[in-house]
Amino acid sequence: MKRRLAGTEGDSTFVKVAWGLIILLGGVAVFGPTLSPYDPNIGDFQKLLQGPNGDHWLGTDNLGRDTLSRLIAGTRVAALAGLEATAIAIAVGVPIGITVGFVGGTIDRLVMRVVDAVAAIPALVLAIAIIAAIGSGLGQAMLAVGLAFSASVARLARGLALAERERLYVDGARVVGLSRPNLLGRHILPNIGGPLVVIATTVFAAAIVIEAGLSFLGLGVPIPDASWGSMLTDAQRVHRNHPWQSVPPGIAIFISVLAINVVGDSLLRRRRGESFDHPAGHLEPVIVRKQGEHTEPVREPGRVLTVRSLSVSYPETTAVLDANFHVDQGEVVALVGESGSGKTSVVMAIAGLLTPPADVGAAELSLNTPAGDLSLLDVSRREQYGWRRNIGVVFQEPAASLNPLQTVGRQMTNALKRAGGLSRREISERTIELLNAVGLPHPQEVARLRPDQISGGMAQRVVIAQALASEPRLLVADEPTTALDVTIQAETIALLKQLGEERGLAVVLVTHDLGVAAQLSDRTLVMYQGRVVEAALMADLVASPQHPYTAELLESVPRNVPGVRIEPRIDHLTTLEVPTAGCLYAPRCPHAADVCRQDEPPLREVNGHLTACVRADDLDLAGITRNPGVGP
Amino acid sequence: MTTLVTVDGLTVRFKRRRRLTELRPEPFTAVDGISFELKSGAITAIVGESGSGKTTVARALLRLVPFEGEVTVDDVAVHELPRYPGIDYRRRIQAVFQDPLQALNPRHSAEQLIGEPLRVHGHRDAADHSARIDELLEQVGLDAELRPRTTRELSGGQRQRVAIARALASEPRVLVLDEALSALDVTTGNRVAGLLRALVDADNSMLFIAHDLALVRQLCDEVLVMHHGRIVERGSPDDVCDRPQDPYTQRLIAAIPDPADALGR
Repeated sequence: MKRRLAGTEGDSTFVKVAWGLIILLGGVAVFGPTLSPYDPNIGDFQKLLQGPNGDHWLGTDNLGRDTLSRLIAGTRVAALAGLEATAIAIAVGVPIGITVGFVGGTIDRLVMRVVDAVAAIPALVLAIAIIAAIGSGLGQAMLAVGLAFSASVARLARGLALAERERLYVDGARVVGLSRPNLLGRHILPNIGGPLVVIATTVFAAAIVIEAGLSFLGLGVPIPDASWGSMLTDAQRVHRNHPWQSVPPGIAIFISVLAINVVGDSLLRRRRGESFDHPAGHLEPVIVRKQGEHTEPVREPGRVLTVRSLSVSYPETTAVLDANFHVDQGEVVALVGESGSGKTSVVMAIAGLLTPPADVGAAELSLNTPAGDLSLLDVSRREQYGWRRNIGVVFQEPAASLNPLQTVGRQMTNALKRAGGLSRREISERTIELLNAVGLPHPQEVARLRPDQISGGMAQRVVIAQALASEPRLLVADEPTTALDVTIQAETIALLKQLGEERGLAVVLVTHDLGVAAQLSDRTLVMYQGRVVEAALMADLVASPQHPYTAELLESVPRNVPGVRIEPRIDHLTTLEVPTAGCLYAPRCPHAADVCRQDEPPLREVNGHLTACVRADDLDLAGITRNPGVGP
Repeated sequence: MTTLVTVDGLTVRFKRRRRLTELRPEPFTAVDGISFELKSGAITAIVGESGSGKTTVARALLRLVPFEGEVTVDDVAVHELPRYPGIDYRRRIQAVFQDPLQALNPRHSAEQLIGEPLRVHGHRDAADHSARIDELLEQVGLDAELRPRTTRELSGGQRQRVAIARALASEPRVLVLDEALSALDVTTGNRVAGLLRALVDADNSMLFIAHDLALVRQLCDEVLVMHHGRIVERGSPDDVCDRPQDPYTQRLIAAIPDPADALGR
């Protein structure tokens, strides 16, 4: 469901062309001598400084040598130069970096000061100095470039190893009993390989430019061998009368460096799950398709959100199938289910935040606002933005929702500016007012703090205050209390309840915990594998569940009641296949019968609940009572 | 019932630099002189909120942080061990952490993850090694066909079972479970809790670190409540939950969300 882009399928044409160019240049570098129409070093004095023509596609130079052949020979030089410099930079930099990063302490400080000093010298200058000491030539030049770049590679590798060392799995491996060299080789190195590949592409591109520069200065390949840099030297001598001469090597350098950098950048973005196309680097949310029969929506008074036949699918899975519900003013509707049930997909679709490769369709997705009815079906980006402004969103991890570098006040100001229509003074007044409303003591002082200076519970209050900035009718809260401590969870629940009542907010609450849902929710939808399997008033759902899955959820919530003990069990329930026909819950269901494995059961009404269990009428499922007797 | 772990006056201090310019940071006491014992065949819980020091206790037992005080695990004096203790200590005490996606190397398959401690602790013979992996998977209720899958290809519950199998590979006497069920769905968490109950026997002991008192009440045999680095209350789960003495324990209990709260609304 939450899969990252794989292969090149997420790449734009631009990135694909860059890959193509790199493969082409690599092929030319390898097969150069066989492709070359002429000997690159032997000139024809009858044909000096020709432009492109039938015999010489890119013309000839000042000694009558074929430009195409020299360009091809230069490709190999550039590729070898890049490879040598990159290999040296990695071979020297990575071991130093990860070792000092992992060992830390005094050794780390000493080595890194030397590395910093080396990194402070520009690579080209260092290369010229090393050539002055050991003589000119491509090999020496690239040794110099490699050493110069090894300092920055070492710094990066150290940073990555330091970050990786703090990761929990490294502690896990230590606890298991792995020795330090084993930890480095088997766990840390493979996990920092990705970023290192990216830095390798930058070193490669820079090495090509530096090789061209050194050859241009006569410090690279020996005369008469061809290199893109030495071709430029020749071209520069005659450039007033024969400007064409500098074009082929210039374009070759430009294109190869650009292609390598584009590919390096796309690899980096792929690791972060971002797109290359969007200026901000993030994938644009998908537009919700209109699907199913068109009926004129019925307007009930007080209705805020209507969702009909909402489906969300990904290339390999259906995350949500045919979800229907509505939320009224002042009402809290909870979506409850385990991970993978599709509950988060539903709210992300409502918030208009699902990104490719998700495919979202609905018969109706409408919001009643003071300014009129809004629909999210087949809308433009602008309308989608307008829709989102009417919804406040609160996510699980407050720290991840806040910018760590900006003060709370600044972030509130930004949120209020987005909401629009307020003067500067009004904005600062509203900031204090909202921070007050979410129960933060001393709002003026809190506004001056950064997110790392406040506790998790306070951060979640700030996130809620931000969500309220645009005065939305609908608040969407995805596991708003899961990451919080129990006492803070209780306070946050109380706050959401109070805000809902005071402001008449419609709230969609997503949680896996029926205990949390019970505190807030008026109506609850239970989801399983993308389907709504039961919907009822919260009190009815708890008292008399009409779907065995709801009963299992209720039974699983740990309660502070005497006499209930967890019994030893190993159960081999963990390799369940998803059935292709019938009720999806059947393989787990203690009440499953043959009838359950035939057709997928539709939602129907039983005892005032909507349930997708065909056997609902026959089953007498246990609910929860306030004061249970001594346990089973 | 024998005593497998004795902790006496355990104190852990960290140097916490609040500003970059602070040259001599004030030490911060995360765990403040606590003492307790772990008995064989029992699951003992440490309950507290973030910042209470409960995870630091686990890290001290696992010899991942330096500490003061005396800690004995399975007759080994941990406070006398070097900073990187050898595998002889490691085999005695193992751990399962909260988020298996973070605590298990994302590149390794279930087979590699379980095979690694086996190799480290001396099951080097290939046939024996492979048979032992199957045995461990069986022990935690996983099918052998899951062997080639990496953590991302497993469900949350399966991942945590792999983590448990990995921890059991060295046949430890003590298993530390640091919020091991907190990241799981209630249904999955319940099943894994049942598995833990099935795995504790007369030869071993578990330290269950959690913030959920209701779950602890159903699963554990003894409860220690931690607050600001100190144990503020201890006793049997029923005593602590029904007759809490400390105001902090009372607050924790009052905060437990109960589905029955929806009744009558």
